[in-house]
Parts: sequence; C-alpha cells; structure tokens
Amino acid sequence: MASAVDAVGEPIPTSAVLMSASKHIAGSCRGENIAFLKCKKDDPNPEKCLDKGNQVTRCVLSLLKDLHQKCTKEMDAYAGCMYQNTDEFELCRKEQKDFEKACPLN
Amino acid sequence: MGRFQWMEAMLPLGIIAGMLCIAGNVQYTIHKAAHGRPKHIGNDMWDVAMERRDKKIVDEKLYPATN
Repeated sequence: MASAVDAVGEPIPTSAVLMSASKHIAGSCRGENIAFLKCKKDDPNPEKCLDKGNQVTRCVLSLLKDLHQKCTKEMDAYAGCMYQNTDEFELCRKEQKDFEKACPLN
Repeated sequence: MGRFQWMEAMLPLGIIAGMLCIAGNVQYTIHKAAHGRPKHIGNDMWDVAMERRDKKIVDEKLYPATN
C-alpha cells in the first residue's frame, strides 16, 4: 500500500501522491480544474462534465508522470511520508522542502 | 537526613509516570503494527473517503487479475 508506483513505474494517484503534488497541480492544471468546477456548478449531472473531467484527469496524470520522472527519489520520499502520516503536511515539511527544491513550482 | 531523601517519595510517582507512558505507547505500537502507519488524529470524512479510494485504486493497479 505504501508504494507510490505501479508495475510500469507510473505514479498511482493515491491521496498521498495527489496531496504531495497538490501545489504543482494547482499551478499546472489550473485552467482544467476551474473549467471542471464551473461545469459542475452549472449542472451537477455527472454526464455533462465527462469531457472536462477527462481533461483534468489527463492533465494531472501527465503532470504526475512528469514529476515522477524528473525527481523520482524526492517525490517517492514525500509521498511515502504523506502516506505514513495520512496526508498531514505539517509532519512532512522536510520532505516537502526537498521535493520542491528538486522540482520547483512554476 | 540525606540531601536527596525526597527522591524516595518521587519513586512511586516515577513508576506511575512510567505506567502512563506504557499506556500510551502500547496502544500506539499495537495500532501501528495493525495498520502499518500511526493513527491519524482528526480523521474526517474526507480522509475516510480517500482511504477507501486509495485501497481500491491500489488493488486495481497492483493486482489487475483479481478484479
């Protein structure tokens, strides 16, 4: 359960991984996320926002893959810490700092 | 009257304090051994939902044949 990557080495978007990358997601996939939220607000019917949902998922998954390629060690350490401490940022500041140093926020 | 005679009265308190430490750490250790990670304080609905989702997607990714 602690492992953050699947058999082919791609990061599994568990909550620990998503929370670790949340700052990067906020920066890189901002447009997609806002479009999805707007669509949801206009019409909560899941069917109406499927394409926007797919866009967000695609953006985040490619971002995760990218981050995992660029700073594998730091990201695994940070996601591992976030898993160990159930997504408590306060307990993983050291790993967070290392991760952000290796893969700076835009 | 030795200078440290009061230590004699501290000893029972020390044992009581030790027992409190044991009461806390035993539960911590058992919970950690049973769940693989320490207990999460303030586990709200979000955390419970995330935990269920995590378990589901990790099982799907790591053992695709069983699903």
